[in-house]
Amino acid sequence: MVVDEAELVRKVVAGDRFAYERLLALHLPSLTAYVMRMMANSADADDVIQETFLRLWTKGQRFDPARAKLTTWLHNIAHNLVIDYFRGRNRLVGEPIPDQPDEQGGPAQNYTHLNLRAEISNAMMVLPERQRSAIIMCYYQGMSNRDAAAVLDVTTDALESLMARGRRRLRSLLAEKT
Amino acid sequence: MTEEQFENMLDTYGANPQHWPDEIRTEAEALLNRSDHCRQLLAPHRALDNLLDSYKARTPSSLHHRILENLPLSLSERILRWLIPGVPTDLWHPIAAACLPLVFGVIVGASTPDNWAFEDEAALSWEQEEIYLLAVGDLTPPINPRDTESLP
Repeated sequence: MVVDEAELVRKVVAGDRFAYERLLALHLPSLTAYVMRMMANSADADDVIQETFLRLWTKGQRFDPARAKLTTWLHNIAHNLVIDYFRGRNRLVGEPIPDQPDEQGGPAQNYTHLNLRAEISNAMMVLPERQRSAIIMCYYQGMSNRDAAAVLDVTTDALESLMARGRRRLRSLLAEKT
Repeated sequence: MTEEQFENMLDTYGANPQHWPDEIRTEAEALLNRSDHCRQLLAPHRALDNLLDSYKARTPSSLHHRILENLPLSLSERILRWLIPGVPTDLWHPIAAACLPLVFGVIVGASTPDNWAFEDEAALSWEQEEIYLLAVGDLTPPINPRDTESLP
């Protein structure tokens, strides 16, 4: 069944909590994945996600379905909140929540995996926010380059340039692992 | 697509064709099939993709619930919370529906004219007396004398 998100947002603006819950269920997993990767799974990421969805409740009237998809609009809000967060903390990310070991595999294997994930996380956090955001949106979130460019308010050429520079930097940072 | 363009595409989108833009995927796959050099270029990008795939995002428990709990309340919901602390806000509508007959009764009562409220006992007894007289009185029409003459 196709969900008319613009109609649901109109209901949210009118104070309909059921419509809000439907949109929350639809977009929370994706937005959580984006913010968590942008903030290295920091505990503060929870606050950014909450604030993003609070904006949907309080500022939903600003969403224009003719200009962007709802997911693009929400990613744009989340991206700006993440940028504000890093500016406020002078680019330092909060304490990360300890990574969970894999269900399968022994302790030694788990240790190796956790170390590897920590290294990738650190490498991602070295990237400038816009490069990191471009990679996360296109690689992990499966967004089209056009939508990702809209979130960052750049052209698709500029987005591709951000992604290429970001991936080249990751390859050099993780050279020993690749 | 040239091999140089293919390499730029790998730099940007990685080795997985699913991540390549729709507009150039077919062309890039065709080039990949016929070029050994392009196939060799894939390896380091595939290795980076594998590393990126192992970077998992944390999924916080109960975040959905916390977001709903922290939503600002409307005026009616704040009044309900003040009247009945601890009541879930989604009970506002059923409670309002249950109170509707009571409100309706109060409005009807307040708008009824005074003489319907049976406050004037004299008027009441007069009305009752009227009704009684109507009940016991003989309301049959009077008999015409000419009709009685023809009787045996």
